[in-house]
Amino acid sequence: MVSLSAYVLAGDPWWLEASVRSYYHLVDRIVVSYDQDHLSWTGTPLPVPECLDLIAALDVDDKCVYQPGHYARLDHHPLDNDTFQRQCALDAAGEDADWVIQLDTDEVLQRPDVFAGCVRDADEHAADGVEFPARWLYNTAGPSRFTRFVGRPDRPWFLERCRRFWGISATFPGPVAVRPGTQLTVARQGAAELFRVDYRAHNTDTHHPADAPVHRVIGADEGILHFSWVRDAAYMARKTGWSGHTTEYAEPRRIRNWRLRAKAPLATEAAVLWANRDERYRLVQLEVDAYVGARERVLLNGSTLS
Amino acid sequence: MPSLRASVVIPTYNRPDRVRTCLEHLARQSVPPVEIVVVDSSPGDQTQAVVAAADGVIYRRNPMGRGATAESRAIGLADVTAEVVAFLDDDANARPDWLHQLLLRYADETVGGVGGSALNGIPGERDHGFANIGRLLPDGRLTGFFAADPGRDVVVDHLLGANMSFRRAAIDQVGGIHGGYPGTCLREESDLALRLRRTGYHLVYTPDAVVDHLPGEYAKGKRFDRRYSFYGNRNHVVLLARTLGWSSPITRRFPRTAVIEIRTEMRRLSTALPIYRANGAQAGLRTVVGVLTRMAALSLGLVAGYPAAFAQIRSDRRRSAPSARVEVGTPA
Repeated sequence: MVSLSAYVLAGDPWWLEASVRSYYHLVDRIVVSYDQDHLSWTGTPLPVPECLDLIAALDVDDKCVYQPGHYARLDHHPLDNDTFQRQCALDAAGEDADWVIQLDTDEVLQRPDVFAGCVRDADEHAADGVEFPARWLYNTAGPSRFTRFVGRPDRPWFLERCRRFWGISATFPGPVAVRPGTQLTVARQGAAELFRVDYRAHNTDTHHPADAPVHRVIGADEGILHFSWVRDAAYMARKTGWSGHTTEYAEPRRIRNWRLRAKAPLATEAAVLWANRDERYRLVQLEVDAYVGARERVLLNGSTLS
Repeated sequence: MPSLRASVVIPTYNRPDRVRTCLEHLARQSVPPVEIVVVDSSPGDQTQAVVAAADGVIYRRNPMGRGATAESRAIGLADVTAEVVAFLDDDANARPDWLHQLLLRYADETVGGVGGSALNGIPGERDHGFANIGRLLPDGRLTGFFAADPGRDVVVDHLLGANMSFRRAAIDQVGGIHGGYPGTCLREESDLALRLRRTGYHLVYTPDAVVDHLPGEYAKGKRFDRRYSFYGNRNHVVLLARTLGWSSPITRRFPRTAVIEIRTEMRRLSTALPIYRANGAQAGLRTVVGVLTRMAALSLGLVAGYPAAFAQIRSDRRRSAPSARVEVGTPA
């Protein structure tokens, strides 16, 4: 039996509830890490109280341990602050646990039982990190002449990162479960011996070589849904200011393209043929009712017909 | 002390000096084997003389010659009486507690086979590859890393022929040892391991059972590399089809895996131009020829694997048919 704990960085309320709920029953303890001054890694204000309220409301078994700290160190690079906060949280969560889950608050486990099985497999095979595949969702896509006639009217449409020719693509932001004592190098990365799970037996991540080993294959609806940019426009404009990748995200072109693609999803889908590997998106309909809170429902209602 | 006893089988081809050293190390085991059987497929009689000089070692001949390691294992297996049979390469020198460590793992009755580390003297070989020790990946590849030391035992899918052992009853249960892996004999050791896994036995890798594995004298050069590539793919197709079946997703995925490897090799052609500029036309040409011949060897091996697999499966079926005379542990 493998004992699990988790840490959560409280700073972004979007999808947080769904994310924590997806693994709450798997873990014995959750370390909730947040900046005591409610500031981001770049020093901008964060809606921390709102996040803490959401977590307190779902913590019915008193599993959460709150750990405030000072992570807005303006003399450090935002990514260093990101890594530092995660390391503090990981060290705290690692006490009395065999593995620590390190999911971001916009990452939701679709099948927690499959994930737990993969951690057990990794434990058995002496790995010290689990790379679990995520479907990277870019934006919702509102009803169009095309979406009116295909798919189910009650399910929202998303733009999802894909491979050339629209194949499913796993993304791996780093190991989402690691052994306690892991020294993080950049953000979540640091574990050396990775147990790698993918949607296909041959690697589907465009950032890994074609012959990268895959240790276990899971179904397309058994991984992580990463609602990376799935937020409303006002919130995304704010988020670009506090992310660890803030210099990259804050380019006006990125936000402009993000808006345009949502308005022209078919053109975005067609562009897969010539777009570079980070800008290939396909239209998908996903069943996400189980993950949606009040805030997310308002956004998703704009992308369904019902 | 372990409750079970072990016999040791050493297949060899034309390396009498290595056999002598191997036997010297076996004589120093903290738990002595019940018997040691050396199965010799070499053309001369030098190995026989070495074995005759060693006390209590059984000598057996394999008339099939080179490229018949699995058949040698099967010949040796017919002579052993212990509950566990350990296989050791002739160029593997067992450390004094090797057999003791292997036998300890058989206390768990679900364990059908135990393998240990084979150290090649490569710096850092103990320190990496933990997550990839002895795996059969979903794309059909086998991983090695049988020198890694993760600090504990690990459940694996296959074992290294240089240092592996099996419960005798488990070998009998799955129908003995399969031959039919010619050439460089690649994958022959994985055949038995994969069949045991399919039957439900656990295979364990322990970093505590160590042998020092010295490279063979004839295992080098470009010609050997091309044979290695050819037989690697050929025997791999045979292995997957025989042990998992044609309908297994792993068997069906392997051609794509092989094509990815061939494509990766093809990309090495791009290094020819810089090599030509730095070291001249001859070096550049050598790179091109090297890449092309390796690609050809890999492709031909893949193609040759399919008729060979069909033939072996047919032969396996004939041998296991009720009317056929079944001899467990005899060569295929």
